[in-house]
Amino acid sequence: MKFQVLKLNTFKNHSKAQFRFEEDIVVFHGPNGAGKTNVLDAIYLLCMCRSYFQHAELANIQHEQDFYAVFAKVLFDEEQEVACMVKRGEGKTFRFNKEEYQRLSDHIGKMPVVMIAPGDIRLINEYSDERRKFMDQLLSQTDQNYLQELIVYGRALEHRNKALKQFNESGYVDHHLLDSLDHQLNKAATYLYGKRKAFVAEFSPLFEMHYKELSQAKESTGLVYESDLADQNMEQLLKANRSKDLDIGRTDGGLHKDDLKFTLNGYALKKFGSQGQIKSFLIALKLAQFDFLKVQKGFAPVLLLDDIFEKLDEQRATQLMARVAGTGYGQIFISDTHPERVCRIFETLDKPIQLIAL
Amino acid sequence: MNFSSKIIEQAVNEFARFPGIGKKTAMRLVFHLIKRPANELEGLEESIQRIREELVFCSTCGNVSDSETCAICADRSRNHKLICVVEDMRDVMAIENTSQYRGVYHILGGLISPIDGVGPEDLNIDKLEQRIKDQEVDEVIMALSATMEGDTTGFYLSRRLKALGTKVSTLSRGISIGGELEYADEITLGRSIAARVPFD
Ligand SMILES: [Zn+2]
Repeated sequence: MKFQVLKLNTFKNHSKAQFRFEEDIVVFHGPNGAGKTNVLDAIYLLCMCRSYFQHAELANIQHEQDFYAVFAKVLFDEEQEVACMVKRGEGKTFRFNKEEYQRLSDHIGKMPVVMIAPGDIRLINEYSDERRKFMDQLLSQTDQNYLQELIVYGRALEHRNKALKQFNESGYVDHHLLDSLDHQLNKAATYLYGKRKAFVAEFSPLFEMHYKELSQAKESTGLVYESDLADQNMEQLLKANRSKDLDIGRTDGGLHKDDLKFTLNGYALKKFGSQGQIKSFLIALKLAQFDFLKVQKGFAPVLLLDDIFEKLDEQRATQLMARVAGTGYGQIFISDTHPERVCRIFETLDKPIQLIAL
Repeated sequence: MNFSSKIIEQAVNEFARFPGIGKKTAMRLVFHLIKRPANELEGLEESIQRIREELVFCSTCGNVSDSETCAICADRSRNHKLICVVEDMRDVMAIENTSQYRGVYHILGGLISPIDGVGPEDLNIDKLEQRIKDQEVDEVIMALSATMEGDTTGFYLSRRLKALGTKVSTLSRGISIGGELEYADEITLGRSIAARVPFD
């Protein structure tokens, strides 16, 4: 999978822009505010149907405009067109090979992607939802059912919370209804739990390999999947929690509380990791993400490296570049304020790059 | 949109309230109306008025009907001990089109969906229980859409109906996941009624 052409139309700060890609490694450079990150985000958007950074779709539209459009020609076995358009008041349309998707979820996984960006530190610092999102984004790209079941789970949970709240307020409880919703949640949760558990088992060795290579240190790392469902199924858990859930008017425990604990020599990374260790940990997570997707898909995902010099020292950045410039990687898009730095690194690696000034 | 006439504007707004009709389509429909001869509009007016004034719901199954008991419930040649539970009248039409089913129906009028404020008490369930008690029904078939809400409703009903000692079955699923009954083709739908399975 190779992006050949990318066109942006009133997307964030780009009124009209068009790029043609000629090398596997493409570097967008320019001062802060030139829109380098936005170009990478547009590529991400075409892969995942949504922005990596912006949760409100409309924020991607320029102020005086009422739409944005992002378009690309992508080479698979043959060339395909991918297009996303968002219009105020009309929502999002997404086309692949000129045909509009009925469900956006059908697109997820066709064009695997990994983004490495300065804000990724959230994965370590923030609440568990960031780490669930990490697993979900990956598994959605490798398993069509996963995303469907995740949507079902989310909806069933919303139904249950709404019902609990009503029962809590009215004092009347329809236990048949809770049984029915518990049953739906259990079906979806059983599938999702199995997938997450298998994923962590498969992902951990990939991650450890990358961490060892990056840190060249001997500390042991751990990724531990923590779930309420480890020793009981969702239905049993919900049944046991029912009276408590009725008291608080929402579903307390379940798959929606899953977490992925990161450890270093058995201690919590967040508390005891040094800045350097945390950086290596993050990059290793992302490279393992890349490997996992590649194995599952049978071809290399697009790799997006946004402003990595911001957060990485030059030594780590060079290490990373050397890794991704090697065999096994596909198309890579990099953004940086100082092109000399990147050029120098790739010169020593003897790897041709395409520079695009913004 | 800027209208030269308040009457047109109102008409466009009314049409735009229909499902799947945007402002543009609404405008096309209104312009079409303007160009038609007056007697054609009278036909339309009359049918809208009759829907409003004459259409009733069958007191037995809840389907829309011209009289207190609908044609299906009034048909003595049908098997009244076999009830097929559906969401709405469109499902009845879809199943009737298969010509594979000779039982009667029960229309719920929706699916359980707490997010949308629809609970079991908002559906035509009490009357179904009453029918089962009164008529010694042999079997109830759940023919609900293969969505999460359809499954939840089916599960809920089976819990309540099994308590009455009725056999509960469900369509064998040739119907695509998330697909609605209305859109299933006749052959697939007919087959999945004939090959129905017990509700687990
Ligand atoms: Zn009837």
